[in-house]
Order: sequence, then structure tokens, then C-alpha cells
Amino acid sequence: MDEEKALLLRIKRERAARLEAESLLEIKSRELHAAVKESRRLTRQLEKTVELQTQELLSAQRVTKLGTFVWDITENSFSWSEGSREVLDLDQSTTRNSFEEFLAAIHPDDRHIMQHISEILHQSVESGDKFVIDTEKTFRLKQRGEDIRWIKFVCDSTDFKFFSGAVQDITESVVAAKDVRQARTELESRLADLEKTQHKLRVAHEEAQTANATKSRFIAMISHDIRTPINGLLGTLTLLADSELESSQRELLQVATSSAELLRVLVNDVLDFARLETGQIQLEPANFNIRDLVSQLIDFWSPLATSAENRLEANIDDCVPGVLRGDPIRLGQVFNNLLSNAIKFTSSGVITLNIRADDSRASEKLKEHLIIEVADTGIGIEKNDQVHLFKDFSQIPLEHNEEEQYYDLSSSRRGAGLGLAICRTLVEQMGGKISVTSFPGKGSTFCIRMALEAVSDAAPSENPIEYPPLVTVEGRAPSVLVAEDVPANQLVSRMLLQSFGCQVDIANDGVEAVAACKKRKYDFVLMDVSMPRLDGIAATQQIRCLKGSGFEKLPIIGLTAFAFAHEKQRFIEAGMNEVVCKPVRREHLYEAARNAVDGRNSTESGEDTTKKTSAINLDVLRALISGLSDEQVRKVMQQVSDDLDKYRDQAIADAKSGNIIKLSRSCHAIKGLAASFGSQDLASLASSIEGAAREGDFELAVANTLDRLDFTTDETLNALKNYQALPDPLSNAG
Amino acid sequence: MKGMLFTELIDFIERHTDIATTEQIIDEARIDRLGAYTAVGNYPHEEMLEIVGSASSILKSRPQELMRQFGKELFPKLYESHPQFFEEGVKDAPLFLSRIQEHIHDEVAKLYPKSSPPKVLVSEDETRLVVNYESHRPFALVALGLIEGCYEYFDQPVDVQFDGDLGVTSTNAQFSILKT
Repeated sequence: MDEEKALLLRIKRERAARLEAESLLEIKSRELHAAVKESRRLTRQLEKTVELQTQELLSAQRVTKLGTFVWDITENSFSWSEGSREVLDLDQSTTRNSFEEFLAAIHPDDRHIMQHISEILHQSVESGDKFVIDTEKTFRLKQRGEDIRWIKFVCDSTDFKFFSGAVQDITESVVAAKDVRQARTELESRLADLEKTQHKLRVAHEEAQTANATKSRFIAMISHDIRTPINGLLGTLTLLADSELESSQRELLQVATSSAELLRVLVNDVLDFARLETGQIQLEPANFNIRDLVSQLIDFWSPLATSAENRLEANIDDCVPGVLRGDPIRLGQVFNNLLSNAIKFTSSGVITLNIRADDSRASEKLKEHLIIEVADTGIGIEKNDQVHLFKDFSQIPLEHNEEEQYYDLSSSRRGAGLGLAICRTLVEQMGGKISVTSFPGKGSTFCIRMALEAVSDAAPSENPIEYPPLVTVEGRAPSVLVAEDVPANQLVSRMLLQSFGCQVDIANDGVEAVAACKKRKYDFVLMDVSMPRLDGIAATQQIRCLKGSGFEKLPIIGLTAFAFAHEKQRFIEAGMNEVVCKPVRREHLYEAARNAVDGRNSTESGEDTTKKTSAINLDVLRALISGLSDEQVRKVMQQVSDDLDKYRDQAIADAKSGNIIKLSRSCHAIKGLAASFGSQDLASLASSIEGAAREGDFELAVANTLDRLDFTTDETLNALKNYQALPDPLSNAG
Repeated sequence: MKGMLFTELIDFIERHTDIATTEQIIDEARIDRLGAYTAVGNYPHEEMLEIVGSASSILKSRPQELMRQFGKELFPKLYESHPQFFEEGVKDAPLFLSRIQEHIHDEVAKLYPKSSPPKVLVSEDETRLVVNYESHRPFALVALGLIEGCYEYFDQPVDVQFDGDLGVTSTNAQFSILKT
């Protein structure tokens, strides 16, 4: 290619390149312009965002009373945010302040805090070492007026030249913390006071409880003790009434008798209430037929009601279920009390016992809400007196105590006024409520509302197997005499005994009891220990001394308040066979009654060899002598009996001489011997004596030996003797 | 491909020939833009291969040699025209090579999002420095020349070894440099 052509080509090429470059430049310029425009737009947007965020931050700072700053440590000046100037109460016109100006805003007493930080930071900057100081500080602002303002200050730095930080007004939290501290202190002192008071209260409560318990015990004892002389008094007065008297003397006697009678009733009520108060009365839920219960009550009270020319009626609504679950004895006691009151305060009127379902509360499942009313047309109760009707004497204001206040007191038969308090307590214990509406001269209506579980009629009555009817050996219902003065208790005992299949007669006191025993031959007697005229102990002693067959063996079951249970031994010594505690528990009475009926059987049937032999286990005995000839058996039996006799005498001698080691050995021998031929009773008795002797319980060991060993050994010896008379089923089989 | 490489290639040809030969080479190359390139434009890399092919036939030299020599002479030009990519304190070729990927090509990719610079990965053991070149363009020989130009620039002798035959279509290569 020649030079010219090459140059032309070059020029052409360069021009084309220039044109392309220019066009590229144009494109790039436009792009750049657009980019610049976009960039400006973005900048503006960014500025707006920053402005907005700054505003937000500042307003957040204002709200939180917080401000930020940068501390130029070399210049020793601060540049403040708007918030921090507000917090520190600095001049708003300038954003920068010298350290001294900042210091001037601080409370003079707190300036040293910031001065100290400043010194440390300056040293750190000069030396180049990291500062070692907690920059989080709290100080007060220079006071303007009353208010003290608290400021929290904190800063840090990454380059040791500029320290960024924040100041916050924490006055409110400081004040709040102070308030909290103060409140806590107050609370603590109040708590301490409270604890002291509580302690005092507890002590007082314990003292009160002790005092109350003591009171109840005291009342129970005293009441019981008072009863004895009252009984004497009443007995004497009765005897006096039988003698010839002038009419004026008879009038005086009448007053004396009714006073003594009143005294007796008073004391009985007090005793009952004391028992209730000490929680000795526990409810015993059972299935019962309320119609039967009411019918028994009506039967019981009708004679008394009629004697005052009253009509006694009972209405039970058809919708009331037949069988309910509750405590029939206690419910009966409540009815009894109310009926007794109603009869007392009504003459020539009508007394009704109404039971109906509470329609207003019928919706509840399973529970049957009942309304039970005892209404009379008697004297009625004054409005003012109704308020205190159900209270016991401890709850009545003092001034009322001195007045004749009670329903009971307003009549010829006065009481301690505890009957209704007892009713209230029992009803409440059953989850019910008792109330009264009454109009003087027109009558009173006592209303009980309570819920009882309805039991399906088809359901079998409770525990039918547990209390099978008692029968005598002749196969008839046992005849029982209940000697008891309190009508409620008479009812309880009668109902219980009837439920055991017994046929019951009632004697109102010891005198009547002795008379009744003379008239009729009872299977057993249930004898209340404390009764008027003649108490249970005296009556028992008199019955035992009666001439005729079987009086010395007639089972007499004593009834006594739980409080005197420890006196049981005294009652047994007086001739009672067994003692049952009041409040009477169904199972206890049943057991005692069954024992009485059974005991009589065995006594009457005389020498019953089968029964006697039960003192030994025949299987064990037969195993021992199996394979022996009759002669050999006789010899073994003789030997066993001789040995047993010998050890028994030895043990008794040991016990009397106080040789406890020898006693232990003798009993050990008896234990082994008795066990070998199956006398379980004797073996366990001997074992218990041996154990007591070994453990040093000398008293128990000796007591058991002297009281029981002799008798139990005799029983076993008799059983052995009887055994030889029995045909051996094994030899028969062989 | 960046226009600057085309203008540098034309300058390279002219340095070793004259205007008439250069223009002839461009004229005879099978390209359709009169061979008008600006440093700021972007052009298909196939055109560079056409120019090299044309130069090879006119100058009667092997295209491999032309590409390797071009690379060798390109290094100082790049170094001088783009000082911003070259860190201060890098005073020897191995260190420079080892930083190409991270300090240059990654930056290029950021500046020109549409560009696709080759991958240059450097590893070394006690005796050797190994440079792995990976591209979608067949410029392994230019890369070889650049490595040699680099050592020359830092005034360090070098003997670059590679496996097999590198040709004008080679896109990938592994270069091995013995440590002295």
C-alpha cells in the first residue's frame, strides 16, 4: 500500500473513530446529566429523610428528656444537640459551650464529678493510654427555685479526641425511686407492726381457745356435778309430795319442785351445748326415709301435744323424695327441739310440721332443696327477741342477758335458751339455714332450708349387711329398756335400737328403770349414767340386787358423755357390762347391743361345748395329736394341762414377787405351749406379757398377768377338757 | 471488549511497522468498521483476532508470537494509564500477580457492570508460583505476555512454563513460575 492511500485510510479511520467517540461522548453526557439529576433527587430525598429523622430523634430526645453531645477534649468544648441544651437548661442561641460554661450549669456541690472526669480524660488524651473511669455519672443542675433536677451523663470515645455522649434528665425516676424507697420503708415498718399485731392476735387467740376449752370443760364438769344434787333434791321433793301436807306447804313444795325441775333442764341444756361446742357431735350421713322419721316424731310427741289440747299435724309434699341422704339422728334432734318448743308455747292450738320441695331452687342436680317448717299458733315472739333467738348466751349483748329474753324464758318451763342455738348449729353443720317468722299472740313459724341428696327409692338402704336385725336365741326381737331423761336422747336411742330390730321401752329416770325391770324381763338395758332422781349407777346397783332370776346377769349398757369416758371403769365396777359414749355412734351401740344379746344367749345356754372349744384352734390341736391312740391323747392332754397349770401359777407368783425376768421366762414357756396346741388367745396374751416384761413395762406385764392370765388359762384348760369329750372327725373318717 | 485494547493493539503494530503497513493490516482484516476504535468504546473480541490474523499474514510472523509480544508490551502501558488500580508499595511481580483478581478484576467488574474480566487465581508453594487464567476469550497468550511484561516491569527475570501448546483459541491456561 502506498503512503498516500495509507494516510487517506488513516484519516478516514480516525474520523470514523472521532465520530464514534463524539457520539459515545454525547451518550455518556446524557447519561451523566441524567445521573446528576437522579443524584440530586436522591440527595434531596436523603436530606428530607435525614431532616425527618433528626426531627424524630430530637423529639424523642425531648420526650425522654435526653440530649446528645460531642465533647472536643483538646478544645475542651461541647457541641450540644437541641435536646441536651434543654436538658441542661443552657442558652438555646448557641450550640457550642466551653467546659467552664457547662460546669456553671451544674450544682456547685456536684461540679467536682465532671471536673474529675475531665481531668482523667485529658490525662488519657495526653498520655495516649486508654482512660480508666466510669463516665456514667449523675449530678444535679444548678438549682433554680425549689426544684432539684437530676441529670445522668455518659460519654465514650473511639479516637480519644472527640467524646460522644448523652445527658438525660432523670429527675422523675430519682424522685420515683426515692418515693419507692420511702414507701418500702413505710411498708416494712407497717409489715413489722402487722406481724407484731398478728403475733399478739395469735397469742390472744390461743389464750382464748384455751380459755374457751377450759370453760367448756368446766361447764361440762360443773353441770354434771350440779345434776347429782339436783337429782337428790327432786327425789326428796317427790318423796315429800307423797307425805301429808297442808295446802300452803303443798304450794311451797310446788314452787320448789318446779324450780328444781327448771334447774335440771337448764343444766341439761348447758351440758348439751358444751358438748356441741367442743365438736363432739359429728354428722353421720346415712340414707333414711324422711316420712318414717316424721311419723316416729309425731307418734312420740302426740301424747304431750294432746295433753295441752293441741293438735299435732305433719304434711309432707308428694314431691319430696322418699329416701334422702343426711344424718337422720341429728335432723330428728332438730325437729324434736322445734316440736318440743312449739308444744311448750302453744295451748289449744295447732302445731304443724310441713316439708316441701323448695321450688325456687329446684334446678340443681342431685340435691333436693327442702323447706321444713314447724309452725304453731302459740304465744309468738316479740320482734326484738327474734334477733337473738338462735344465739347462745355468749353471743347475746350483756344488757339482754339480764332480761327475760328468750322464747324459753317467757313461759312456765324455762331453759338456758340453748335449744335453738343447738338447732342452728346442727342445721348449719348440715349446710342449711334456720329462720323464724313470728307474731306475738298469733304464733311462730320456724323455717329450715337445706339441700339433701335424693337417693333413688330403688336403691337399697345403706349397709344392710352391717346391721342385721338382732334376734334373741328364741328368735324373737330383743326387748330393750332405755333409761334416759332427755327426750331427744330417748328418741335417738329408740330410733337406733328400733333400726337394729329391738323393741324399746323408755324409762325417764333410774327409779322408773328399776321399776320397769321388776315388771318385765328385758334382754338388755341401755342406762344413761346421769339421770334425775336415781342416776344410772345407783339404778344399776339396785337392779343387780333385785330378787329374782337373771338380774345379776341382765346386760346393762351404760351411756355416758364422752367427757366422762375415763370414768368407764367406775361404771363397770358399779355393775354395768359395757359403756357406750355419747354422742352415740350407731356402730358402737350396735356392737354393744349385739354383745348384750349374744352374751345372754351363751349364759342362758349354759355349758355349750362347741362354743367353749373355740378357745383353741381345733385344726392345730388335731394335727398335734393325729396318729395317737386315745390313751396317748389323754396322756398328752394331761401333760399339757399340768404344764400349763404349773407355768400359770409360776407366772402369777413371779408377778406378785416382782421378778420380771422370771415372769418373762414363764410367759415365754406358756406362749410356746399354747401355740403348739392352737390356743391363739393364750399364746398372744403370753407373748404380750413377755414383750412388756422384756421392755421393762413392769406395770403392764404384772397387770396383764394378774388380771387376764389366770382367766385365759382357765378358758384354755376348759377347752382342752371339753375337746376330749368331742368325737374326733378324723377317727370317725378312718 | 474494551476499546483501549484495540487502540493499544494498533499502536503496537504501528510501533513495529509503519503507517502504510498498519493501515494495510487493518484494511485487510475482515472487520466492518474501517478499523475505527476509540479507547472508550466496546467492541467484539473476535475483531482483535481478525486484526492479529491480518498482521500475521502480512508480517509473515506467527499469530501466537504476536499475541504474546503484545501482552508483554501491554503491561507497562496498562500500569501507566491506570495508576489507580496499582497499589502503592507493591514492588515485585509475584505480589502484584497475586493481587490482580482481588484488587483489579473485582474492581473492574464493579466499575463496568457489563464487562467480563478473566479470572486470574494465583497460588504458590515453596518452589513455584502458579497462575491460573480462565476466560471466555481466547487470550491465554496475551496473558502469558502480560505476566512476562510484569516481571520485566519489576525488573525480575522469569521463565514461565505452561502445559501443552497454547494457541490463538486457548481460553484457559495454567502458568508455572519457578521461584528464584
